[in-house]
Amino acid sequence: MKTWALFVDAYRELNSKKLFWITMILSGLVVAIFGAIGLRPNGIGILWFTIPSDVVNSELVDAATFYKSIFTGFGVRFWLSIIATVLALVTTAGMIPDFISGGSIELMLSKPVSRTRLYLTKFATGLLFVGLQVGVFSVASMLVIGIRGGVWEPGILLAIPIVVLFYSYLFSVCALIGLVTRSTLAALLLTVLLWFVLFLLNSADETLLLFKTQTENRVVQQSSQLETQRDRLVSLRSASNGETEVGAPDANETAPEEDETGGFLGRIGDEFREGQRIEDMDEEDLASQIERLEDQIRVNETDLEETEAAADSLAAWHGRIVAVKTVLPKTRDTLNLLDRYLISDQAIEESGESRRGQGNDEFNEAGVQMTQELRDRSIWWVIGTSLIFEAFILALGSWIFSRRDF
Amino acid sequence: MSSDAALDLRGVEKVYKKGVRALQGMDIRIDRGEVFGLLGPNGAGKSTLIKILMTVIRPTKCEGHMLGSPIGTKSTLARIGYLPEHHRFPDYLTGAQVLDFYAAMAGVPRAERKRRAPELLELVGMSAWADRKIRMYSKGMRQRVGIAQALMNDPDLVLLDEPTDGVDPVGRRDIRRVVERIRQDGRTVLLNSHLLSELEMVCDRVAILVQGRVRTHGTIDDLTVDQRYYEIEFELEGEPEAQRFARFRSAIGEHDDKIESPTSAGRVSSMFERSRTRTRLDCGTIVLATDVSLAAFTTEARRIQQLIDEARRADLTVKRVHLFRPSLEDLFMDAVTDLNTGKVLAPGAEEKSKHRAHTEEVAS
Repeated sequence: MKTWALFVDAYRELNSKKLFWITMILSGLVVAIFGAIGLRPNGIGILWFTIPSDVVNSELVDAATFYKSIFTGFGVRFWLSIIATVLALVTTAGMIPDFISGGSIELMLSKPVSRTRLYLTKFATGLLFVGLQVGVFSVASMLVIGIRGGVWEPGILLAIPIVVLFYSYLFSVCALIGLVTRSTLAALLLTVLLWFVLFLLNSADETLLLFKTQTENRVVQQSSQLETQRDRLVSLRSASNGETEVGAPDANETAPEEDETGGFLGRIGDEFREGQRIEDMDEEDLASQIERLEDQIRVNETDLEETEAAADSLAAWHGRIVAVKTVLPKTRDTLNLLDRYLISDQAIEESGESRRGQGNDEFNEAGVQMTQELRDRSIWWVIGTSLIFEAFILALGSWIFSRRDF
Repeated sequence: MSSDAALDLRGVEKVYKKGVRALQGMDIRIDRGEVFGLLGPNGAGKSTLIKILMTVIRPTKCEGHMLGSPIGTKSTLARIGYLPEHHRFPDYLTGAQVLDFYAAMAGVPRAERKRRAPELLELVGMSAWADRKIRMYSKGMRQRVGIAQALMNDPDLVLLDEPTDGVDPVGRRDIRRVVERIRQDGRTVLLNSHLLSELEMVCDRVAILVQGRVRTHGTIDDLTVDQRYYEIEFELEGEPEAQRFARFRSAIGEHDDKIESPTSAGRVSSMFERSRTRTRLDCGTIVLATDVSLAAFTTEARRIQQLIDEARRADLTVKRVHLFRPSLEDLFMDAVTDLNTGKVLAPGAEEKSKHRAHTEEVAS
């Protein structure tokens, strides 16, 4: 009864705030825009206009995937997790400072309710704003995807607990700061600051993971090519010593394809540019080839060592970032959980395949691998450790609230 | 603790973080069914005491019981009504919603809330405003709704902290009637107010707090019993009558400077401060006399009859006989006045360092 009374009161408080209704109307507009977008054979349609596209059209992408991608990519990741979250913070940052202000808190504390329960329930009512916003938005989006995309996807409703969970990480800190400082402004600004730090950490995590993956891929490629060069050197030396028949398994080897980048892979093919076979070489050619190949192997070994060192360094830094993230709330990873359930691994691979040949394949490949690695992170690590952080912050807030004189 | 005590406190102390001693060993007992007034200057510790009872702040030391349970027992709060000083209700709620919300927080069942809210709004004269937002209320209206809120849980003990703050005279009279009604219902009321006349009218007993201690307590009659006296005023027109009164005055007795102040607090009406005659009658009653009147320090009417008879025999005209009783304000001023210096004590609580210095001074 007391908990229910607090929630009813929180709803009445939200109901009295213009910002709550402004956000609700904006959510409705976002869904309306969402519904106005459609797939056409030659591109993306917005009302009666068409934006031509060779990649996104009804011939290549099915409507359900298209709408789900917009929902997660724009609806959740942009609207709910940034704009609506800022509006939610502005609206609810004053909740705890108002709650503990003189003249108000005395009445609440004088009721037969424990302080811990009071604080935690008040915290929970702070999530009501986001819960209602994301609830209305998700249900409306599900209707749009069902009607326009032809697919009824109840998984979209997972956005409700996921976004509320994401917001609860931030609001637990906001509530604590509001409790300690008694200032709405301080609570708002310091929470936004924490959010920005988390954004930087997440960006660093993804960037370092991308470069680490790319560098590790490069190490594998360089090692493989270096192995090829060494085999070739063995063959050349054997031929030079007159052992071609016995010790040159690659005697008929042809030159490998040249690397488009003109980098490491490009250099290992220099000696084969003329397409000359080993048995066709005379002693002088063999000596020259061996000397050039030895030089290149030395250079490439140095390059490989540098790449390995870079990969180790990136791995170390990425490990540190992940370690720091482990004890902090994982806002972006939590929101990314929605992708896991709405966008299949196959769709991710197909997306990577479709980008192949459109620019830097090495980078695109690393991007797909990074996405997959992010998707493979355990739920326990993403949610469990974030909830431990939140539980710690809430416990600290409850402890302060329980011991303070008002 | 005896069962007829609604509140029984012993040695309540509260020292705030910066060493401010808000309460310094306070003892108070309030019987069930009485209206008890708590008064004192700003910073005396009145609100601190009430906040300790309501678990809003934690005491440094506190022994005692409230409604039979140790102080700080949360479940007891369900039986207590509380109106804080400077309370602030959510302004997005209506008066009826305020009552419903806080009663729900006190654990009052929904059906009971629905039944009691209109009754109490009627009691405090706010029925017509029940469905309007608090933000539209005046200060007095908020106080009225606050009192109704304090009664929603049908409490056994009601703590009202400055209930008439910001209320107009009509509102104060209405609130006084509500307090009397609460007493008639057999509930106990602890009333904290600066308006001494208000307390005087409704309180059975009062306690005066000064710098975190109870300076004095009891019924107002108990507290003034040795400060009451009869004043007999004469109508003296012309020199002959003035001379007759002077002779009468001399006949009562010789002036004796050795007779000490006739009241415990040393207070007499200002007109007697420079009395011409100070004497003691055979019956023991002390009499002070000025040029036009007498003050007989007794509360027994029969003891002044002899004086009146003798005055009339001396052909003097008795204009007025009046039993003087100090007001609560007089008691209050006595309590907050330093007996040694005669100065009013500074407002506010005592700081720890000053308290230590004072204690050492007393000890030496």
